[in-house]
Amino acid sequence: MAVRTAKISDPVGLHLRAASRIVQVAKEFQSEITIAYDGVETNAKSILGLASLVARYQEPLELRAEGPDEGAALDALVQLIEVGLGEES
Amino acid sequence: MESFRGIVASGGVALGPARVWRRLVVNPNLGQKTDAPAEEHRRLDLALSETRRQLEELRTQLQDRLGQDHATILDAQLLILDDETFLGQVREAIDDQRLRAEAAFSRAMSEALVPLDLSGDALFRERMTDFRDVEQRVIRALSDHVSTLPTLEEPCILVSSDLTPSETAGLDFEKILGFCIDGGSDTGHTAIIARSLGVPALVGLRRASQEIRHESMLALDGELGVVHSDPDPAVIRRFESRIRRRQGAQRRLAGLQTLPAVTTDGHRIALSANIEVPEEIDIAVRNGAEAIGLVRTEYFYFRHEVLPNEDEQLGEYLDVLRRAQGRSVTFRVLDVGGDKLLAAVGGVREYNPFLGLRGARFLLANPEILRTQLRALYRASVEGPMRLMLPMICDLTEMLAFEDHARRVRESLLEEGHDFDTEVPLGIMIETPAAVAMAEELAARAEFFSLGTNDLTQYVLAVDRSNLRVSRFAQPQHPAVLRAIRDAVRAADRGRIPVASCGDMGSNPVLAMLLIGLGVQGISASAASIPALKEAIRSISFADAQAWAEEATSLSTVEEVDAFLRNKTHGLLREFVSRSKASGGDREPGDEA
Repeated sequence: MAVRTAKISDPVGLHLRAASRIVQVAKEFQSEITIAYDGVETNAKSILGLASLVARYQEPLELRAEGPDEGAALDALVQLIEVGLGEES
Repeated sequence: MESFRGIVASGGVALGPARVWRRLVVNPNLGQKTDAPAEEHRRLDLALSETRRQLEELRTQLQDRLGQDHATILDAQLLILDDETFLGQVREAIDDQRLRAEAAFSRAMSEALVPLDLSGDALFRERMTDFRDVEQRVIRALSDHVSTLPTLEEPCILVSSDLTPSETAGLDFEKILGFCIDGGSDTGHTAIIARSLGVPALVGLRRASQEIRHESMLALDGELGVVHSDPDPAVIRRFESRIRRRQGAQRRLAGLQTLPAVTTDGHRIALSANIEVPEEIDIAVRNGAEAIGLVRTEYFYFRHEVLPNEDEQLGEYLDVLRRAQGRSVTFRVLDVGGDKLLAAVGGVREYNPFLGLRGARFLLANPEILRTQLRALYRASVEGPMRLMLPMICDLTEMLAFEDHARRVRESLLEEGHDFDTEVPLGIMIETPAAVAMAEELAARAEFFSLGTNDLTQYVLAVDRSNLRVSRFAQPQHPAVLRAIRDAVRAADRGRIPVASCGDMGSNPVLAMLLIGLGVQGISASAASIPALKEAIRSISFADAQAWAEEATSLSTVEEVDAFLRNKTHGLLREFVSRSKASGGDREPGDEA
């Protein structure tokens, strides 16, 4: 089990485009990945789950992964949430 | 007896039992239960894959036209269709609460969206519309898989709220006496099929499918636009006598099916059919069409919300050629603009659409649309003989540009190793005064001419045929139109290329004789009109037709032409003249019922 925290770098928060990117990246990994925000936990591979987190700019997300590629999965997702999302929009 | 009034989409008279077909409407808010959850899972799977297909298609198109950025919304929507967590909740609702797929999907979606709704954040709430859009698509797709049309056991009048193309495609046409449709329009799919079949159809009947009882007797009047349920005995008798009169003629015409369309002095005319939807070909073949002289390809575009891609078009064109069973098929490339706006390409309402960006102009301004269609058409040519035709040509520049596009498409198909007929004839529609004036030059390049008499009439006479205040002036027998046709036919003869007619003018037996007299070698008309045309052709001599055409063309006014035709056709043509008038209204006084 790997656990990491990441702050949302995108000023509009975890909007649709960002959530799509997270799902797409998460699906590249075999591990079970969850993302928790404000006490609610969801599957990182579920677009509706991520959208319903209503996570905002600069807020911390807690990422957990379990599986053969858990480390790599969290590396990629943290990078995406802290840097990639902001750059993209 | 109860009567319902609608809009006539196809003329004729019918008497028979009602087959009422009500589409099962599932309201996702009502939470209807099911006792067959497995069936609901199957429907859900079908609807999900249909929605996925739609969204992927839309994404490709947006990406091509607007760039990757605009396609991202669709990426997110596509992810919903693969969201196992969410779909797990939908399936649970089907299994545990025995909900129908619509209700299960809708409820799971609402639950998932509660946090967004409560967030009070405008951006987050806006996002909900994108999710709701997917929900709408899935529910719409589910409704297409609710129930299929019943098999028709005996001849009947089909009564329905509306019929989708996939529903009509499955019908046994032999059993259809007529159509009564609550919604619809006279340009819709059912209307086209009904006209082709030559059976009456009323649309816009509003609540008829709710109020007409299954198996009740119907008297359908496709002239007055009214249908009576449980008609009085007197009304039944009147309808029976009207139907008998028509049947006599139909039986006589049916005997001509396998005979050639040849005049009494041995002049052979190629009699073919105009079609819009593939099923019409079966009807045309049954009626004795020897070729398909015009396929209006717009239909294949209008039935999609977005532009159909190359493979989808290929599938449709292969279907057309297969149904034609080796008969030559002339495809007219997309003719939009004018009265046919194509929403998928951002159709813009123009102030004067008939003089606007339409036909060849539209295609040459949107070369990627033309290219995709030409690729699909050429690739379909492996299935049977075909010809390609460009609409609304004004001059040689457009003709050459079309040839150039076709040549480049052929080159790239060859490079890619596709198998196709490299010598598909390329022809043009003659439907503008400019094309008539330039016919000599055009005949030197084009491999055939087809006279589009509807547009030619409106442009020669400067009459907007969609404007009800002037449309009565759109008379193809006007000497001005006849002279334009004469000139175009002469140019085709000098250029040694074939010339046929594919407008409504050719569906009228008397006017078709004028076209033949003017020298057209082929008439392409609606499938329903082919038997009567064949009878007319077989009842006159080519020499007479030529003499009439020459005389009519030399007259000074349309009134003189009308008087001349009334006189001349009095003898030989009397019978079908009276019938062609009758098709406009053969009712007796008192039929209003």
